[in-house]
Amino acid sequence: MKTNKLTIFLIVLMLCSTIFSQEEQNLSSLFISKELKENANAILRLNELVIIVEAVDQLTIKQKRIVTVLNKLGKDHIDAYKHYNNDTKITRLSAIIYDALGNKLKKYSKNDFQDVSAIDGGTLYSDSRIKFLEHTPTSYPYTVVFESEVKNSSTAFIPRWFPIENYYLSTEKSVYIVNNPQNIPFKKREKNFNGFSIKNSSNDNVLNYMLTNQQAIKPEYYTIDFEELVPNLSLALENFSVKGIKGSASNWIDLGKWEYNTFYNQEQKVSEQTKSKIIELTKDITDPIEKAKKVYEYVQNKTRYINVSVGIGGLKPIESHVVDRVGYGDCKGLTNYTRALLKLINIDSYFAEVFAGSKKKNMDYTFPQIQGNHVILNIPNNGNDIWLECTSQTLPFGFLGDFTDDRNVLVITPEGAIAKRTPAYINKDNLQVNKATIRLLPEGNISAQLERKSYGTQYDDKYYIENYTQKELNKHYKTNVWSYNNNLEIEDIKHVNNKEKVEFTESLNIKIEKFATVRDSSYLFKLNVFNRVTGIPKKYRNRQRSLEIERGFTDKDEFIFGIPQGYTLTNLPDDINITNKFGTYSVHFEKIDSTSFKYKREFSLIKGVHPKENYKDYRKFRKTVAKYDNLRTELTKL
Amino acid sequence: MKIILFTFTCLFFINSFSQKKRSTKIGNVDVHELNMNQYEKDTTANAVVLYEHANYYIDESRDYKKTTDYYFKVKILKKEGTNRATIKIPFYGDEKIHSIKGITYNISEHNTIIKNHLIDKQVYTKDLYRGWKEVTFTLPNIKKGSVIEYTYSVTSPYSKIDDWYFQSDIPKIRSDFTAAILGNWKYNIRLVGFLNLNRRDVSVKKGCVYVPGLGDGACLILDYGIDNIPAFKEEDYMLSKENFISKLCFDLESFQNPRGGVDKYTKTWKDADKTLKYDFLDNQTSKKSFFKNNLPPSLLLINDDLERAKKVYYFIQNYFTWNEKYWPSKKVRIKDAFENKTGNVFDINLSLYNSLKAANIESYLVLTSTRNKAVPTRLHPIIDDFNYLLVKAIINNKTYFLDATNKQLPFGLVQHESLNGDGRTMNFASGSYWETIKLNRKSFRNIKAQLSFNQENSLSGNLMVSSDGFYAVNDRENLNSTDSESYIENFESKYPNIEVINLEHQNLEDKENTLHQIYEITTDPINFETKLRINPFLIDRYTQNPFKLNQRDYPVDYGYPRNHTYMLSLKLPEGYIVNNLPENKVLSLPNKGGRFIINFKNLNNVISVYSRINLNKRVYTSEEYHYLKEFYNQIIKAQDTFIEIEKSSN
Repeated sequence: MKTNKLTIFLIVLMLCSTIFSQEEQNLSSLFISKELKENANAILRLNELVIIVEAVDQLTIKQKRIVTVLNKLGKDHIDAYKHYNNDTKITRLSAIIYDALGNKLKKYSKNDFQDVSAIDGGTLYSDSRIKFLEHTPTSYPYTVVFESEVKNSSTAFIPRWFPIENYYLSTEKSVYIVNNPQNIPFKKREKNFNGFSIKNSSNDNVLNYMLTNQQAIKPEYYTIDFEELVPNLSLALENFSVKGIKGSASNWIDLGKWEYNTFYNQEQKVSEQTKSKIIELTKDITDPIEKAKKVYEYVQNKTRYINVSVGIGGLKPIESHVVDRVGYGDCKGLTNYTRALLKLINIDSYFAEVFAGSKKKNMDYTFPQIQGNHVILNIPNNGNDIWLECTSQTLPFGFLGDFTDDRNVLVITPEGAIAKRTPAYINKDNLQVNKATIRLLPEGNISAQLERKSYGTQYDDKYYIENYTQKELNKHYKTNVWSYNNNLEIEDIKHVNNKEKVEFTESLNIKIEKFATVRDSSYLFKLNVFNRVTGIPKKYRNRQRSLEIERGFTDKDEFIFGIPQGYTLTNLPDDINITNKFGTYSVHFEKIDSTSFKYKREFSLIKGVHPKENYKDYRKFRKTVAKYDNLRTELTKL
Repeated sequence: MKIILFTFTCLFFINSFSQKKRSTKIGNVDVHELNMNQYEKDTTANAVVLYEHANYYIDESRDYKKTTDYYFKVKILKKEGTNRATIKIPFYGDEKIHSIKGITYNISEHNTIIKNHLIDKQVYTKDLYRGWKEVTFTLPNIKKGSVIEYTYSVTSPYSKIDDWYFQSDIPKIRSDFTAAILGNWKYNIRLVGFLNLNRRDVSVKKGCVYVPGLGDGACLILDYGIDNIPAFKEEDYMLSKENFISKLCFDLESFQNPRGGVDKYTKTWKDADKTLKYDFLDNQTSKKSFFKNNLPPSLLLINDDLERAKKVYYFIQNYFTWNEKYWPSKKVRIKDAFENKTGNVFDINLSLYNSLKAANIESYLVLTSTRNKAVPTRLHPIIDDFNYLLVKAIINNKTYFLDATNKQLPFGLVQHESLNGDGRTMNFASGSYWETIKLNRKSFRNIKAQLSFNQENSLSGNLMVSSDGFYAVNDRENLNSTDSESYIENFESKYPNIEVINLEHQNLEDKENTLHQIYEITTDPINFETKLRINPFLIDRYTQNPFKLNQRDYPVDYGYPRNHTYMLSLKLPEGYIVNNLPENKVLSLPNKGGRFIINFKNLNNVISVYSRINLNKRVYTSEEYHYLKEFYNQIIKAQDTFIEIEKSSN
């Protein structure tokens, strides 16, 4: 009996070991579980990231990545590429392709990878390059084994663990190992770990995290950001190096001080000419804010955004006297220049580091690591902060728009970093008021005078058109703004951009031919001529995640209709009043006299997050809005 | 782009005539140019080129290599024009960019000129990919009102003379191209576009070159220029702008080396055919037998020619995966491609050609170019103009154009992007010729809706969407790349009042036949008591005119004719009658360009609606544009209608 048991145990053990070793090498796609294939275009069979912190200024990053691509769309998840630059060297790079049965099809070595410059549109020059795999699959599924080793002398940005990388990608196994033989102290931050099968088997010297068997996630609209949904782990060394400069910090007070002294505390030199110009411009003004406004406008007129990023230039601004001479710079350079000019008239201001983008993302004050992708300028102004976007040549003074609004930023001062929040533009801040006088003509045409005023993010969405040519404006109104009105002709356009009030006014004279359907006895037309919201959120048979309205807005419309001779309005349609937790929608009619009536509409959405169960109701609300925005009414012949 | 390598060095040429002196030098901007605040001829321009000049010559100081000196002077009129101050100069291989100079001119408050020079440190060179590099720089101190001036030179060992674009997206006051081309280099020079030259001097300068031991050599001296050039504006549904933008093109015809030999590049189609024959048909017999051996033997045994050709076509189409590349950068190696099961357009369609030949099907190669490129010129053969290859097969006296790159194409259809003017059919025995590419599959989308009211006052029934030709290619691609739940969700999102209960398809795999998608649907309940208005177009209604602008300069190029049909049969609920049916309508485009019919009928309380749109032409001229725009207007108007039904009074 005893031996028997032992044999069984041994056999089981051996079986296990063979299964295990097979799992290591079996690259066939045949036995992937059904669960992992569901909603997946590709399966991350393995992503093993081994990071060795060799020294304060030496990182080695080894990656083994196995991806099984199930269909054409899965190709995007192979991610067989590596970035490099002057202080990041690729020491090993290979990819092997296997067919569905696990047979080796093709091997690519380092020199077979494509090698291109990785410079985006706004950048004039940078040393950033990329090596990537170019492979045309001949059948699906297939598997790519990608291996790389990269050495980096900057240790300020240790690659984070982001095991669930994307939608439509399931993860069989993702491993993150950090070796820290020198015991350099570090901070770590775990986010969104709850509810995921993550195993942490770290010990004193080695971090070791693993996530297994995660099904693919399908994307949904109007919901929280992917990054807030999936687990991630970040590390920050307390002693680090960046582009050859060493630093140490264990909190944002110290890191802020270090950043201030290393990057931002430069001699604020500009030419004598510029100096006297600035003093001249501001000499008759007493209010420091008005002075700052003059300086901001001066910078807007003088400079433009050009990014040149080599070495430390990605972090440290180019000197103010250089910007003064050439009239261009990147966000850091232009912010630094504005700061230097403000200093000339004794106004203190500071760099504010931020994650920019229309999707809001916060800087984390609790985690001392260089973060963000953009800088703006903060004038403390005795507690009434003023924020300046120095890369824009057109934004009003103190207005940020949806690029950096409503989020935590870090203001870098000589005393360390301070967490602050940028102004929010929500709900009624984002107002559009639309007033029109519309004459309905007997043959079905209409002629209208319209005035539309926009504020907040609605201002941000529109003000830039003031620089459009007539031809561009024509196209803009016909194809973007009022695409639902065919035969629309614009006869006169006036724009007033009031930067003081942050108000954009569009005054237009408009004709629309064949707007109404004229019959023997009736005259039919749609009431909402100039602000039809007909888009309806996508339908989900099975909504998975909460509904988010990120900013909200309010639209107010007031159209006065003059009805054509020979017709009469028998009865006005009923008023509509809907108010719910998502917002309001109301339409109100008012008879003015026998030949005219008023149509008043208000549509607003309120910023907020709602449980997924509410999505259906929200969609229903939007459907109702679309229906009433398409409402027709009828005039009868006298 | 392919570059014809120049392998011969002209070491023993010595210039005695200096074309170099004709290059425009930097440093001539006056106060008037700085004070100019708008360009009268185009007040909407963000910037205007005041003068530009390219001068091409043999530079004795640079190893007698071909050099072009470029000069540009640009006025920045608006803030949006400041991006003109950032210059990117891509170059290839052994080309050198040098002598870069730049100056920004601004005007001070005291009406004096302020100059800022570009410094060398601000000029960057980066490697792009595969031998391509780029020089970039941006000029300092740019404001609204600045005038910039910059020059650079390109010295090249290659024989290609770059096209000179007289026209760009900003207007120009004057643009010149001058050159001194050695007499032994012969180029065909073409002017593309609608503008006329203001300067066109061509002369021969004897003694332009002194060749030790041989004597004086002559040069062709060129002087081309246009004044007051309007900005080129792209339009929607336009063929590649390369067909319309004004530019000079240089096609190398021949090179005569001083020892007397002549290398011909582009002269006659006869010569071109010979080159192409060598490129494509090298080692032909072995290829034919290679495919004979590699095709499934059963295919070759099929008796019926058409059936055999189709089977061979689908075999090749299925066998290869296209790598989305076009003209090969190196010599075509179809045996390698066959081994790897992947290749570019040439690998795949040349394999198709050889396989059809192996199957004894009369076949020809047809060269075309993709729609993003200029239509190949008919003046003389330029092999570089072509980047696409089709196969023409003649079976039972019927012609088929074939393309095996895209998996969703049926036999007799080619990729839309390869339809760019006529093709050049290669007949290696009797010579090549131009031929219109006729497609054997019509492109249409037909919708047949059969609906009735159910108990909940919803419309329910079936929608059958049938597609063929390019519509079927798109639909099959979508169906194959989206899971069915998402596909239905997308449909429902597009038509929010429709709920799909079930979706089936027919002929999804069978590309020979029309694809049918059958949706079983129900709509949102329609609340009505006595009177109901309903738009009969549940899906695919025309609501927006693709053409909104009043002016059109270039033809509308759709690439292929198309038909849309919508048929509805709607059964009314008991006790209701039709109150009003919309008007019937027929309308036609001139020159048999198209036709629209819409018809409403009521028979025993079943309403039938028939709407058909035919667009018969591939291309509509800019004169026909207004008719086309109005045609869409009328369709939109006619479809934006409703059927009115009412409770019957008895």
